[in-house]
Amino acid sequence: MKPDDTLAGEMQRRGVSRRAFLKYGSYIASLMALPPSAVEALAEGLAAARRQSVIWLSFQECTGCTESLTRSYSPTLENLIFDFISLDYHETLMAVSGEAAEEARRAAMAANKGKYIVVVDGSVPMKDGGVYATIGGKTNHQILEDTVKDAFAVVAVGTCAAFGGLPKANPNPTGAVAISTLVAGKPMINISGCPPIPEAMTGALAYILSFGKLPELDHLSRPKAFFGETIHDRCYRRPYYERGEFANAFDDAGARQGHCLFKVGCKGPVTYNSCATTKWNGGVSFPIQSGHGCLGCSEPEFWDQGGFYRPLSTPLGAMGPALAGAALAGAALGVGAALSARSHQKHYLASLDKEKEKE
Amino acid sequence: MSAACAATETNEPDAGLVGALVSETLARLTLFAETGETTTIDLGGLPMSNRHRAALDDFLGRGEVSASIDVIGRTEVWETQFSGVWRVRHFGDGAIATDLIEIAACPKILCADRRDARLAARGMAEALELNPGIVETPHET
Amino acid sequence: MELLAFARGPALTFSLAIFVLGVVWRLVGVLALPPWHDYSPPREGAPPNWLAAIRAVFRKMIPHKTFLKDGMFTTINGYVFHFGLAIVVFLFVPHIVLIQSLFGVSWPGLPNGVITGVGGLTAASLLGALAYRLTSPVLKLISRPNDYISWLLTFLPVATGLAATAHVGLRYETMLALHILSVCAFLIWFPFGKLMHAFLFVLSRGATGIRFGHRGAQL
Repeated sequence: MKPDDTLAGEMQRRGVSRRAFLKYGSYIASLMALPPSAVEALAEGLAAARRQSVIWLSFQECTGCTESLTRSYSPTLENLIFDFISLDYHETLMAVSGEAAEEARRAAMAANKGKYIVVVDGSVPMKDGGVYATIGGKTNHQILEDTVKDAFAVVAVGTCAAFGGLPKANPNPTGAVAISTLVAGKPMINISGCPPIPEAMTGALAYILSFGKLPELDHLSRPKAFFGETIHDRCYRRPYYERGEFANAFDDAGARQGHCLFKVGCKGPVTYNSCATTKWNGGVSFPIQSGHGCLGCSEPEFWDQGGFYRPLSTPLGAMGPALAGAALAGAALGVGAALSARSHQKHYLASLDKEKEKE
Repeated sequence: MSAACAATETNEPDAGLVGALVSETLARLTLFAETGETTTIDLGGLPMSNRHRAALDDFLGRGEVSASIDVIGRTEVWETQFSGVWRVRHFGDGAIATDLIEIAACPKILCADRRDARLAARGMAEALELNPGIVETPHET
Repeated sequence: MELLAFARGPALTFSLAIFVLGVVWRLVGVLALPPWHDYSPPREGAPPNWLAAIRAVFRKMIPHKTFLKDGMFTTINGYVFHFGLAIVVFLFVPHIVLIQSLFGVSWPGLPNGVITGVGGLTAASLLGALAYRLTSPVLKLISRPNDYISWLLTFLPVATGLAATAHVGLRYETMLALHILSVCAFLIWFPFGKLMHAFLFVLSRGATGIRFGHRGAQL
């Protein structure tokens, strides 16, 4: 008899019942705020799925995204996703290196043509022919094009891959671009964040595995389940904002009483992510709960928003010189206008006098 | 509680969350009693603090059944003092991963799946074949 | 976020610079004009010029009793949206934060619920003012594009601010950017249109008060 190669079959061989899928289905449904009726569909879909080939490409990045995804210490619910995927290429995690590693990638691509998922972290440098990041003599751009060609879908994890991130920040010396600008015609998901919430990565992958399609995405191709609402809208400190109670500094009475961090630069009102609900490190906390404002790390160009501690309602740059210059110019124009009026008046009065003299 | 934990303890105002949850549970329980329709209320995604959770569980109390499931981590299931209202709590990496109120005759996670049962039957038959002596009446001494 | 960065960055800098330049230009231009001399002797018992000026500024805040009844709506409605605008602009905390970043001064704000309520009332009052302008036969005749532009550029920041707060229409960051851009348009128009009355009303009322006071006329 042919061995059952579904995920359910694999789990059964390890002595794990289908309860595991029901439990995982509940977990994913809860994460993605899917209706309870979706739990069984998720569980059945996952149980019937086969291990998903995943090729993970790392470009201009810091490996923080990989750290975020793998930061779990025991085989539990959170990292069960690693039992459901076959991570066929990942430079940081794979044992082999050099040509053997590249061969593993090519083999996985050939064996799963049209079915594998490409996960990318990091942005791609395009300036000067892309020479600023090469692997095995190939530029990031070449590797991406080559790998994505036969992929089923592309998942850009982290803000660098999704929107360019730190490498693309002013003055963008390497001409870094987001993955979406180089991948045309492929189903594409952005899981932004610096790093992204691991549950957002696993949730999106589990969804694709269960339903064979991408979850509902927002206008920046991010799963709405995780990026549908702003940090501010789900923040437990929101009532303080509404009541007008703010921390004015990180060590004042307001800060100690847990008041809203808007005045110390929190970007929660314009940042879409689920930190306030899913939280970090297994639901322990998130930046605002730990006393620091949101940096807006899941949004495009978040490095170039004028500073992390500059309140959202203030100008991006220094206004002093522009305003002082404008005031001086205005005063000069005003004085000029008044002088012209005075001289005009003088001439007019003189002409009146002349007319009188004539009379 | 350690000092480090105290620093992250949220001190948010109570927005009547627990009361609203209990009202919702009552409505669903009434529906279940009348029509047999089962439902699940997911507490994930709600801005619930430990205080809210404790208040909810204080109100719901503990009933006759409690069970612990060991599958990809721990899961605790117990019937509340209100028959038909169950609490299902899946643990992940040390923390609560999913927290549910299930309104049903029995939570689904407790029930064995028939496909697992089919495999189990095969396994049991194999085990029996390997060790037929197990079913013989023991000799009296 | 790109639109928001544009609004908070170049747009706000440019419009604030134009606003400062225009306001200073017009105020200096007016104040540096040659002093006006009335060579006739003042009427007996006429107040000194400064007193006549101050009196006029305050007395004109309520219409003369001859016009009070007919002008009741415009007077009350005018007060409603002027106070409303002042409260929303100067007592909403994010606005105070902006002012503090520009001028270094700050003061306590009001809870958002109050601001939203006042903002709604202000928007309604501004719509009332427009309706009156469009229906009053006299006002309609003397209204010029300047009046309508000034009205629109006052109304838009209120409307977009309310929409952003209430999550109506576009996404919050887009509404916020539109709100800031509408304020930019307001700032650019301000010194050159009728909005400049916010500064000039003091000067014009004062000048009128001095002329009338000199001749012993009561305002």
